[in-house]
Amino acid sequence: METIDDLVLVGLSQRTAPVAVRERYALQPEDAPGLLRQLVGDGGIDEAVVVSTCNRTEALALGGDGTESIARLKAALFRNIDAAHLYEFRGLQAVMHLFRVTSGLDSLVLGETEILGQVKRAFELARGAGAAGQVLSPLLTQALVVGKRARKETTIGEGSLSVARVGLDVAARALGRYEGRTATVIGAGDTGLLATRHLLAAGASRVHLLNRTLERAVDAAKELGPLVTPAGLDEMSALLDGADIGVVCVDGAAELIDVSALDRRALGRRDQPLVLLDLSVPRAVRPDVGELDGVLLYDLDALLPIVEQNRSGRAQAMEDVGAILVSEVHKFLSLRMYANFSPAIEELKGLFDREREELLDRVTGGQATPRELELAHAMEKKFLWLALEQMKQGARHTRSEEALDRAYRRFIDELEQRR
Amino acid sequence: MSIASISDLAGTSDVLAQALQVALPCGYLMAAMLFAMAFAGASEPRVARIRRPLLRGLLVLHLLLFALHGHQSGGFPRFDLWMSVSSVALATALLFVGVTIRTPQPTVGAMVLLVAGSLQLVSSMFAQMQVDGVEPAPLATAVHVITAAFASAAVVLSGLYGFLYLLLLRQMKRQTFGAIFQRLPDLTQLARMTRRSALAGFGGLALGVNVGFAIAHSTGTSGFHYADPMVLLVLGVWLHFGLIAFSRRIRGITAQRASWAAVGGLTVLIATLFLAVVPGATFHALS
Repeated sequence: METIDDLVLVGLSQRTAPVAVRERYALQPEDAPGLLRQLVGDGGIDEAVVVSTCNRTEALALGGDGTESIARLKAALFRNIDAAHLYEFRGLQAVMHLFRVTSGLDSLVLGETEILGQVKRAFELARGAGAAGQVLSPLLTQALVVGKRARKETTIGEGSLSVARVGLDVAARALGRYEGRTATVIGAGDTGLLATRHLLAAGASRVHLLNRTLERAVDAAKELGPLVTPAGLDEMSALLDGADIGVVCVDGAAELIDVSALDRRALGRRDQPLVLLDLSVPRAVRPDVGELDGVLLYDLDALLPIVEQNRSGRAQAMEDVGAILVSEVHKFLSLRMYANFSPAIEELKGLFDREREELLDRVTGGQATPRELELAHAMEKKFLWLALEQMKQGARHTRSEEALDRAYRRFIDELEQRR
Repeated sequence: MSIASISDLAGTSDVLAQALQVALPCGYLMAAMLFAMAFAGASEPRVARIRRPLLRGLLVLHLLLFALHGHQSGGFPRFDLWMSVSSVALATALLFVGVTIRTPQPTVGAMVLLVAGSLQLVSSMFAQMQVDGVEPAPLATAVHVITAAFASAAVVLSGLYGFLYLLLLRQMKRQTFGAIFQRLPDLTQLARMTRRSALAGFGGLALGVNVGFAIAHSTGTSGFHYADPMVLLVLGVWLHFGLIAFSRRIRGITAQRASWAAVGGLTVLIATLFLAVVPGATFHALS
């Protein structure tokens, strides 16, 4: 039976790869089921989950040979990549990394909540593709519990900002207050809607919400209120020209906006520069747009320093989440260890049953009264319970929380050294 | 009052004036440092809290310095170049305090006071200590000098705000999110401050220059004519800052261009001021 030691995780994130690399290896949701089926169908990998967001693409797999599993994951997801951009974790470290991801410790924006939904969707995709089984299903369930506990029991999520919010704060250094400002948001996905909500909350007087499928923009605009005007992508250039800020968050639309999408003469006439936030992976705005006079362009990588400042003041919250993470890893390992005993427990139960029958026959000569039968069953049950409790205790003590805490701190140190 | 007591008083005021000439630049530069502590954000030291009372105290002392000069002259003192520089330093600090009464901007204050302190330092180094025996200036001259000083200070502030706008814009373009990015007012506010200061400079110069023309005509100032280099330069600076002040309504003059223009205009104003000390270059000699 597979154990936690057979877990492997390979991936890249904003910590290891710039957006130009991340966008090349981003996995579109529609491609995930096929890839997962291929991974578990080819043999060697029993279970797999792939998480792909704006800031990370990583695969978690369970297989016989860790080295071979890693090679398979790299071949499937990260072909021809520079190895310096990848991280690999095995066994316990893979579990710890996953828990760090769901608790928001590994996110671009510390404690952000979007990652929980993204991991949940990845889990559902894996289950749908039949790639999440006896080990990964409880592991991912536990990872989601860790994420929820971290935000509920610590201050990691307090004042925590989504990437959209960080971007809007940067834009505010140019625009000042948002009151009376016009914004154009391209993409009516989760991030686009979040950005729109932030803009409205900040006092923007008009938000044009553009989407490839107009119906989606119309539906979203109805939900968001009368200040939001839906439009199709064909109106993008005109609406960007008239806007104070443009937020672009589209999936899989590489280079949707290039220099020709903006009217240079209009840019030359505007008093303050147009702020463009490109929150898409792959990037939807060509980098040379940022070189135009009258344009301030920020992609996800550009926002990293601000996010790091947000992180530096949250040491206590990170410490608190670390404690939750260690206790949840301990709980998970205990349960896994106990689960590994299942065949042994079944065998033990059969053995106890046989011994009980033989003992009863020997003592009563096959003539046991109902009272004697009842007593024998009760005694067997009690002995079995005592034996199982001993096993559970043994499983819990296999790795003490203190040992796990030390392992977690070593893991954090290793991560810091790699940075 | 006896002749001896008048003489004692005059001696005391001389000593006091000399002490102020030394104390003022030191005070402005110290205030600039205290204001600069705002770049440390929330972790700025507690001593920084005294910056505003210190600045108010310095303004009182600066006014006292001019009062002493007035006392020595027996009226509104006549201004040489270095007293003019000192008056611009005072007006710059006064305008800053007036403008930021409701919205304190300590980081901008650091820059403004650095400029004011530097101006006062130069003035203190070269200013004449004794002004006895010089006749007081008439009222029209006083109006001309005061408006010109405030207009010059407004132009200095406009140029400084323009410079800060360009600095912040450059940081944002280069995606450098340091202390400048975090602590300066936003681009929109800096552009507004640049234009408002330019408007104050434009208005002040309009009044000061016209009063100056009136004085020149009424007193028949020797050498005055409208083609005088200083007159032309001052009129140029006046028009230039008028354009900056109303640039929001002028198509093509973006905040960035207005900021460049403000920095350029300030440079021209400084050149104009130095023209006044070149012998024979202009009728308006300040030396």
